[in-house]
Amino acid sequence: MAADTGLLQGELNENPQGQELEVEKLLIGFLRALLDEQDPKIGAPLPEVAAK
Amino acid sequence: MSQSPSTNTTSVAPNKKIRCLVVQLARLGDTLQSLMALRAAKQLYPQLEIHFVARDKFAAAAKRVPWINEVITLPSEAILGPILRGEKRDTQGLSEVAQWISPMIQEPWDLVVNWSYSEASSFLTGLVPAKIKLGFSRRKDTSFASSDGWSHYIQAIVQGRLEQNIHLTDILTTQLLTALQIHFGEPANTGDAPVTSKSFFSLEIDESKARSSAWAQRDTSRKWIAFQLGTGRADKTWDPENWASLANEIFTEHPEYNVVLLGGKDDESRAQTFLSSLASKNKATNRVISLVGETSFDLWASVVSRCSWVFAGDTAAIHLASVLGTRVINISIGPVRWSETGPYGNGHYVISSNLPCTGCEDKDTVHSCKDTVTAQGVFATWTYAASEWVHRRKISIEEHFAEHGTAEHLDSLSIYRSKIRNTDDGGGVVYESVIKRPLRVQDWSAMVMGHIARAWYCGWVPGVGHELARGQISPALVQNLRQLDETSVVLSKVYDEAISIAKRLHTKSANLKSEKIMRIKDREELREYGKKLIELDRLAERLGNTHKPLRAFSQMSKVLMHNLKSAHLSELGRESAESYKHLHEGVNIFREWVKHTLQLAKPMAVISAPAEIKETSP
Repeated sequence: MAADTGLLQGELNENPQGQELEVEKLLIGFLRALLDEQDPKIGAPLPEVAAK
Repeated sequence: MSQSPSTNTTSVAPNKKIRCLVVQLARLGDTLQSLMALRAAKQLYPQLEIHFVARDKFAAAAKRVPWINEVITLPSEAILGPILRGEKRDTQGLSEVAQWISPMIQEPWDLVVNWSYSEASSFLTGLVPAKIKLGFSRRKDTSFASSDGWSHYIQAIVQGRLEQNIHLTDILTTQLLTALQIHFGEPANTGDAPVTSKSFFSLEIDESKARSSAWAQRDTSRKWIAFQLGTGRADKTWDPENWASLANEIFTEHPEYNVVLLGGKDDESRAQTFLSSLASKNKATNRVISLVGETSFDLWASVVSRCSWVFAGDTAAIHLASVLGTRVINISIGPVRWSETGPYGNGHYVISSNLPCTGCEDKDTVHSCKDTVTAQGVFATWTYAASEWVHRRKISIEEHFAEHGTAEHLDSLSIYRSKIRNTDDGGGVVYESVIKRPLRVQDWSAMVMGHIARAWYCGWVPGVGHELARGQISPALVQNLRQLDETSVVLSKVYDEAISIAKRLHTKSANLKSEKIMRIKDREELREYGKKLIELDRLAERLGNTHKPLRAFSQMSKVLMHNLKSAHLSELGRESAESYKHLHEGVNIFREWVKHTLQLAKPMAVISAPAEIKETSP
């Protein structure tokens, strides 16, 4: 079951300060996605579902 | 929804604050559903300190909740407006976005819950530091990630538009409570306190303004019904002429009821059409108060809480009424997934078309479902719902429609009544068909998928077929299930094989000295495993494409594989094996459902009653 595999637990952030994240890229991504979102709704399909 | 994760939990000091940031950048309806889920969590974990992020346009509801510590509003128009109008380049908006985010990244949060399930919100969640994150986020390389089981489920099944029957409010509640239990220990409080109440919000009504409003001067000796005329989308909106016909029916048969019209500025022309149409039916429009275009959140919530009923399409009004405990008649038109977003609580009714709708299947054509849901059908459903306390549902809806001379309207309708399940039955809201009809394969699939999800993520689930009755099973369903029986056996074998190969991939790569430099033979062997897994995934996808009820597994597989966390081959092999095991367990539950349903459909031997023994005189 999912509980045994850690799937239930959410992401444990290894880097709570977030310094290693590419902040600028995330900010740009946030702004552009906000501009693209016409109908923000929980059930609305996401554009990105790709296998690793 | 009840949940009991099987991981070990610890108790936590009840006074230690849990700083929680909730990201809800979706619409008002989603905000209201989030608030219900948060209320359930706050009742169990009073130490939760909730900071709520919402778009300024949809933040009013959260601002009126007294137990939310802070509402952080995103000034969408101020930031995005100039860019959308071409007055600024998007890169120029960056510093404003950075300034807005800055206070949120000063100190790590204990928990960040992203309930928007959108692309934009995933970037925001990626930026905010936290010990635990739920929902969509971003990895260090900024690629998309959803890290917990319920988020995978939402991405694969809910957003994949596949059949399932768990309400979004229940998904959000269970997701948060499970994470709290795992990371912060057992709740300090126990309780089955309801999450809805008339006093959910602390409203701020401008008394002087309120006194002069038409609503304040209403006839309080009458009962009031609120009509929310519009929805966010034209294809989900019932025509104003239909609303007028419905009002006509109510006014003719029920002099004790009046109607208040609700809606935004966009609904003003609808309100005009409604009033003209009603006047043409010679009905006194003085039994109608229109608050269309003048409803602030506070007035809107105050009106909804004072009405006996709210009639509305797929709009935030049904969630507002749910939160405030006002009964709802949900007129569900167009492509609506009402089992996920319908009214929450006991005794609400959902009415939708039972006939195929060309508009719902093809976006470019007209929605015939708008006309198949008739005013007479809605009226008869409401009179049935409103008189439940008299007939106690001992008369059927079919008899009720026949008594009212509206039987011909029933065939084109689907009517469902909401019910909160007992905790022992799994909890959460369920919509029961009021009309006695056999289950369609998609309804059956939705039940099964809901059951599988609860088995995957709740750790406990009622028995297979718990809510399935023999009378619901039709020959057509049996025929479908016989085909699914064979295909699900194949799918189970596919995942069995995938588990075995992923394990071999793990073992082989774990025994290598390096994952980069290796013998050609080893590299070929690893490549073979990889190729084989891709073939198996494709086979699973083909099976899902042929048999839609099985599509959930290949869709889920894509999401699970996308969210594998490790960068090392051996760990990826182990994680893949775990994911395939997860899918295999799901397919096995699916097969149990098929088996159980087919068994239930078999004719039962009826034992004839023993012949009465007559006493005979000696």
